[in-house]
Amino acid sequence: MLRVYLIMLLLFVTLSAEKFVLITNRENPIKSLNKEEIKQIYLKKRRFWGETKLTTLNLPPSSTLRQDFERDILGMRAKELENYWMRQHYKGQRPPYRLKSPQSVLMFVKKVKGAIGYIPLSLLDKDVRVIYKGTI
Amino acid sequence: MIRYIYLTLILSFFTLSFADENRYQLGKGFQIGSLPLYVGGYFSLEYEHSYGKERSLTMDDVAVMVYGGSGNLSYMLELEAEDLYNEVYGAEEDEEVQDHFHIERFYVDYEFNDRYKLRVGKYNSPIGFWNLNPINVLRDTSSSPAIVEQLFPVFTSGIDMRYYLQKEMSTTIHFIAQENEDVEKLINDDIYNNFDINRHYGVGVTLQDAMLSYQLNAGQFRTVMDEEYYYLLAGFEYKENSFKFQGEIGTQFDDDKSTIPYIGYLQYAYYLQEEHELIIRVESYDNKIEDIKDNFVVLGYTYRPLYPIALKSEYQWHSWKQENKLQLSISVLF
Repeated sequence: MLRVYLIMLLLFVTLSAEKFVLITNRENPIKSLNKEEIKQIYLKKRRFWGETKLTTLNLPPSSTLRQDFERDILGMRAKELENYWMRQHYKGQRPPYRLKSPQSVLMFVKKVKGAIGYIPLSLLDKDVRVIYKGTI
Repeated sequence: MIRYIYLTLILSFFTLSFADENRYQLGKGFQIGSLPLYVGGYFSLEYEHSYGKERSLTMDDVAVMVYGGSGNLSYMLELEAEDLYNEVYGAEEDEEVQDHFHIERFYVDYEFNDRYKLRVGKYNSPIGFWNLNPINVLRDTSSSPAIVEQLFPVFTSGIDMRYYLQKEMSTTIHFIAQENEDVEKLINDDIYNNFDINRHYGVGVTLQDAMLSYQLNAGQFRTVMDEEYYYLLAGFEYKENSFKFQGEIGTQFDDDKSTIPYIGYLQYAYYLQEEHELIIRVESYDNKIEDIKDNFVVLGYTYRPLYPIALKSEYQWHSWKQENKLQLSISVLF
């Protein structure tokens, strides 16, 4: 009986984990990224990919997808990131653009060559390129 | 005069603090309309009590920054009033007010691609760890290690070509060159730099991963008095969630002799909680030009109710004469 409970629990956790994708414009030369590259790009330590200027996109701070993305992909807590961007303010660097919803992110990425953003897998369509698939 | 300074700062602070949350957040500056133009700044108020000497209150580092960018280009202009107000208790002329701003930074960046970036103008020399975050509110302690003030010019007016490569560790290489007088000369003879220079060449290499950084710098500079110096610096930094351990060591010499045979420090910063930081730093140097050989310990505590507001206290125990001192400061990034 215990084994059945454990299997059900595992199944529940697997099904409830949200799948997300990091997407970019189809004309962007990026084919795929690993976690470290995503971190470098989202912290704007790397602002170009070859000759293409990258534009990173964020959801509002209250978004659970953003919170999970920052914790699991960037490996930083919200407060750490706040502090990081304040130090960057002195260096003349700004944080990623903030958009209101995953739908806005999708629209922006379709229009801007260097745009990169994360959306739930359920919103994905064929007009954008997936450069990272994740579960958080 | 001092009343007007305070009034201006306080009014600015509260106006900005109560501005629409979406438009302004303390420590992040604000955008002018939808232009690629951001405005911010910082200030600090420092109290120093040197034992056997005097006590002083200084409004230091009052600065305004304007920056932005578009495409491959970006720019930064920072004007700073150093020691805007200084009061020495017990001295005959006990109050001094500076009435003009210095050009602290004024540069344009052109980023060619993901590897190369060219900077032209006056900028913080990319040397060591402290000189890249040189303002009080961003530093661990109110004071900077002696190596920052004594070994190399903290500002360079010229070009900086940066090369960046991301692999397992990121590699950053800077080539800096100055073959002219300070940009400040355009408007002012009162140079804002620790050395008044008309030449500076240097190279720096930084290797960095998530926790560890190594730094190596070498360079040569010439003052307007035709004195030429060479410097070497090596440093490391190791960071974890609860602490940071770092150290730097350097040497300076001219064509004939060693001018600073050694200068360096080791520092351990422990984060008690997110807002509280304890710092212990041990420093040592031998400066032949100033004829000072000193060993000292700095014990500091920093409290940040919010990250862009820092309340700091530190005490320094020196082996050289009566240099022991207490420093208290409040600093804000806005």
